[in-house]
Amino acid sequence: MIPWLARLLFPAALAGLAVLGATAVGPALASQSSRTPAEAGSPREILVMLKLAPPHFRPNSGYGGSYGDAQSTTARRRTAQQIARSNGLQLIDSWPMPLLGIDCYVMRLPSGLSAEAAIAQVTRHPMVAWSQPMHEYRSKSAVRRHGDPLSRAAPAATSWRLADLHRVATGRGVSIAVIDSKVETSHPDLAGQFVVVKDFVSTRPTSSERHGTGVAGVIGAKANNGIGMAGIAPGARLMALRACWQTGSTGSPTICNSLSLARALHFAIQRRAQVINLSVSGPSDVLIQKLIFLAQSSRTTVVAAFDPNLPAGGFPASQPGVIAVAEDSLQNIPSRVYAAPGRNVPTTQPGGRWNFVSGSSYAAAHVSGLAALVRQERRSPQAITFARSADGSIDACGTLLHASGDCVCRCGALRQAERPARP
Amino acid sequence: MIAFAGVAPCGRLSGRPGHNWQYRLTLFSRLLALLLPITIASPARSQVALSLAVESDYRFRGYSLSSGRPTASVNLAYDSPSGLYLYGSVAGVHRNDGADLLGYQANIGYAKRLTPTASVDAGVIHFQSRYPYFGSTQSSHYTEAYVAAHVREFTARVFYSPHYFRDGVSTAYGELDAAIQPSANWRLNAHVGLLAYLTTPVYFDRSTSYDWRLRASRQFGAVEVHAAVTGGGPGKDYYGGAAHDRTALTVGGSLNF
Repeated sequence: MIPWLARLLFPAALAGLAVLGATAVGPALASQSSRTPAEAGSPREILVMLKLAPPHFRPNSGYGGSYGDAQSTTARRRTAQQIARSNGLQLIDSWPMPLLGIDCYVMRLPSGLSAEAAIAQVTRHPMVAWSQPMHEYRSKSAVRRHGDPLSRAAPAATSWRLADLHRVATGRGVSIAVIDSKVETSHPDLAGQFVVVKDFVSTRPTSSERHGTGVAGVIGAKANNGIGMAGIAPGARLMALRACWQTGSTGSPTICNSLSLARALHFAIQRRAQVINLSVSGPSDVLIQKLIFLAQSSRTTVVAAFDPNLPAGGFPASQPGVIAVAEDSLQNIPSRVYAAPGRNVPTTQPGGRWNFVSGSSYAAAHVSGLAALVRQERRSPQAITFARSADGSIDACGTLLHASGDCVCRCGALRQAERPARP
Repeated sequence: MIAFAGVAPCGRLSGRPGHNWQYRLTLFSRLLALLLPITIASPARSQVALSLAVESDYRFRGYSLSSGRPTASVNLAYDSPSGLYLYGSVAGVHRNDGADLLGYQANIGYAKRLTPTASVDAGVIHFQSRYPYFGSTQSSHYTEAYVAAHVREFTARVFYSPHYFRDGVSTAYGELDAAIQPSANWRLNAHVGLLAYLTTPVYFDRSTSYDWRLRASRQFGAVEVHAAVTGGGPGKDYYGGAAHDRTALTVGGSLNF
């Protein structure tokens, strides 16, 4: 009775691995590699979250036999394929998010089926935790062409008394996740500033992109290296997490979607980033909400760009606890939103160049850098509140030194004197 | 003989008669009979996974249970988001005279997520193996209860067995595991374990033993391949009438359904 069972096992296992394995590999890889960023940003996709069992012991996971995670991952993918097939959807991508206890699947809608209808259908399945549309997020920034090399024109150099701030803190040892488009990490003003470089956009590798390189420069460009400019937190440990992509030449927007942002956020939380910079804005999103809440519960500072053209200033800036930042030339911003330098900011750009940029994206980057200085100086992960000057903009010196106005570096008074009157 | 009995987990020199094997197989069949209706009755609410696996050498806590021979196994797993999980596995080994049944495993447990990055886990595992011994077939087995804590990439687990591969030998085994996922399809795992004998017969070598493992695995869709370096001490591993180094490189793969 026993030997015949054993004699069956070998041929079955070997034939199964050889034949079925070959057929299983092809479609899975093909479906992932065929996806383009433009397709990912399409509203014709929904995210379906399958419930994940808690981590547990699995015999043979290390000593021999199959690896448990691969076994259960394949089973969940099979469930996702069944859900897709029974609802007329196409399964195109997936990403595990164990911190939320889910596996996230991307499914494409057929023509004629609305996202709302598809979500209502798939949510009936008991394994589905929730489902939502694939949202699109955009950066709010502009690059001003400037032929001259970088000067000492950084607004923060004067309004924030950056050199004085750096006597107190440079963000040393604080990790900042820059969730953005691809950063030129080899830029002479950025090389060596990154502890992690990761690409979460499931496309072919691309060259460095403007928005991410600019935001990273504002946050963490090297100081006192004799070239370019100084970032707000040149001592910080940066994580360049690519979740967005440039859609064309100069002037075209940089966009991201729910899944790419969620992937990068999940990674940043797993790697215990202390500050997360999100210089993007778009519609409210359950998946990203949950991840940001998770980050906040780990005392991570989350900074996002405010967009006056979107309801409540756009998401994720609208989420409670997120530090919403607008460039300081914007008028009538809500009281919960901080104003920071974001106009004609010199920063790093691809190709080893520098340029002047504008937008709330870069204002948010300023505040992420300042948050790193505060975290270094306070040495405790308590919630950060920023001191404000009379016009509502951030008083950087007052924030860092708890001495607003007549602080030792007198930056408050100087900033008021040097700042042009608001229209 | 004393040294072998003290360090070798499968009790090669102290196995039970073959008829016990049939009894265990009956028990295993009953477990499967219990498992299958559960998995079939609620497929929509839970994850049922089947896999076929091959391994160049079936190693357990630093020892080869397949006498350095390649093995193949069929594995059935049931995971519920509620935390309940079940597992059953039947393995065969390729010996000189052809294929033979190596053994089976059955496992039931419950896991609970405490925070997004921490969970606890408790369960029971039963393992039954058989092996040739001077022309006859011997069998050995153990049943262990365990508790575990998972925090981020790390797992600490403690096992207790009242009869570890033979009657009258109770053991505690502690292990620490770390796993990282450097990319979507790669997984690296490191493991160290320590086996201590709590109660033993008077003639038994109670030497505490250790084992370790470094493992890399790569997933290609439904197929997973892996390689591992394992080792342990003190002493050698004995099978096939000779002593073997405890350090070994193994490779394997699985097809997951």
